[in-house]
Amino acid sequence: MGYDWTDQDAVIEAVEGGLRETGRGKAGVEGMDSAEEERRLGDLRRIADLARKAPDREVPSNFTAGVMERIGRGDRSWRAAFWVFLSRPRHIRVNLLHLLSGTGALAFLILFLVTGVDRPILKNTASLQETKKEYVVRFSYFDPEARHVYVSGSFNNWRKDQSPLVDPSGRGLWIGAVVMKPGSYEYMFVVDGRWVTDEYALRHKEDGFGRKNAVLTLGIDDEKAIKKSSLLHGSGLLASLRGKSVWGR
Amino acid sequence: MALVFLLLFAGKAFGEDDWSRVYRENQAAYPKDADLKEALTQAEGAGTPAEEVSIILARSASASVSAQDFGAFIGHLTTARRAGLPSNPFAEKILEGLAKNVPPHLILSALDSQLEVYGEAKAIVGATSGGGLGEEALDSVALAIQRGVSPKALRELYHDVSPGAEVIFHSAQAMADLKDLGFSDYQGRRMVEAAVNAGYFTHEEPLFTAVISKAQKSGLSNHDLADKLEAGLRQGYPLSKVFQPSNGSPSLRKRNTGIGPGTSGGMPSGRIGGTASPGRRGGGRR
Repeated sequence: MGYDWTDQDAVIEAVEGGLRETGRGKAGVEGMDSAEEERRLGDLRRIADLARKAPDREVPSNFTAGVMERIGRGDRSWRAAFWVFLSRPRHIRVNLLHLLSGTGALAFLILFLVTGVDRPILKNTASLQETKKEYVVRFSYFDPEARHVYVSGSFNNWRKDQSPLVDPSGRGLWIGAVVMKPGSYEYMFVVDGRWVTDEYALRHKEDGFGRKNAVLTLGIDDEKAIKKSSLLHGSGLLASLRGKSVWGR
Repeated sequence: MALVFLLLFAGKAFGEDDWSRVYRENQAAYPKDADLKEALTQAEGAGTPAEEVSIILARSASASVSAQDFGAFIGHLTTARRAGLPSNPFAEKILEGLAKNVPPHLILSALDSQLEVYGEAKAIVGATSGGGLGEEALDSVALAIQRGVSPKALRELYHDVSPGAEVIFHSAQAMADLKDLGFSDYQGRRMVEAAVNAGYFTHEEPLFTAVISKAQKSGLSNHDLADKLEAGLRQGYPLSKVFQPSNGSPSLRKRNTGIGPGTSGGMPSGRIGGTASPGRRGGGRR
């Protein structure tokens, strides 16, 4: 039920109504003892008396509208509003597990940024972080007789079985791709356990053990060179900038 | 997810450090050899990354390499670090040898050669193991030497043109490519120097070798080719025009699209050996 609190008679009626209700025990607050209830009745009576004694005064007809307009207008600068938002007291409920996890995650993030957890092994980490560029180098090898073909090189710490090539057509064209950072790399194919030189690579060098490694150099800014070289070389080795379909090399 | 991060953080913060793990793994793999611990201590003191030692240890143990040979491997990494060289190329050579089932004494011999090459490369590039891009330039110069270019030719080249690390990275390989095409060190140096001065080699230049290789089929001698390329680039002709019979006119460069030195810049911030001449960098066609 709503009352017009600018109307003095209405106020008196509301308070007395409250008194009647309280007297019947319907407005009592659950858990409130009789002393508290008595004090509350006293307050209500005093309010009713004050309202009766108050001089009759006409409330401007636009009083409510004016107040509501000022509230709605929010006559505060954004700074003041922000300050109120910040300084307003709040009740915060904390889940200890979430708090610890969040703190740990933040600490881990800081540790990750500072020390670089999970850096690739045996790679020039300083330059990798500097360049951020990666290339998808695509390898191909043709041998219809081969049963297992891998590419092994300095980019995968010469692991023999980490980077397999696949022959999707079953006709002996083995293909695969490895993501690499800029730098110089040496590699060979491992075909059914045998080390085989990529004869179609642009560059080679002696490996010091009686074999010949293919050499791959990926510069910081080789994207254009890759596009150009696609016109110049029909090599078995293809490279592209990661995320783009640029064939070449 | 946050809980996973927490666990990872706790592992990092309270778990054993990398070198403690290496010592423990070493104790498991080579329990009877006390000298190895000293070799590992020296490697740690020289700043060798624990990851490198750890993976070499695992592969050596797997390949039944003796404790003495494993210690010698690690000794080479220590020597490299103490000489101001990156240990990474030496670790890779060890892993390559182990993967290819090469006997340890041949791996050690290859490491000795590699130490010598990298020592020469370092003297040329002036890089230390601390620099990222400088380290890649160092690798490239060492690779060029291993591919047959004389250190003297490289030293003269970089003394004369003082390029940045990215230019060293590519031009050193161009020197080796010319060596593969039968050019002498002297001819190669002149050609590459002219190209660097013309703004080439800020990135890989496959056209450089391709154009020269094609020109060789015209019957000109390598000496004449070197002269013609050097003169053409100095006069401002693009690489694609220097071997054309008439040489065209420099104004033709504007109609020559898509071929020539890169224009994308991309020069590395780490520069080696001083600065280039103003106006000669950045890959503009000249």
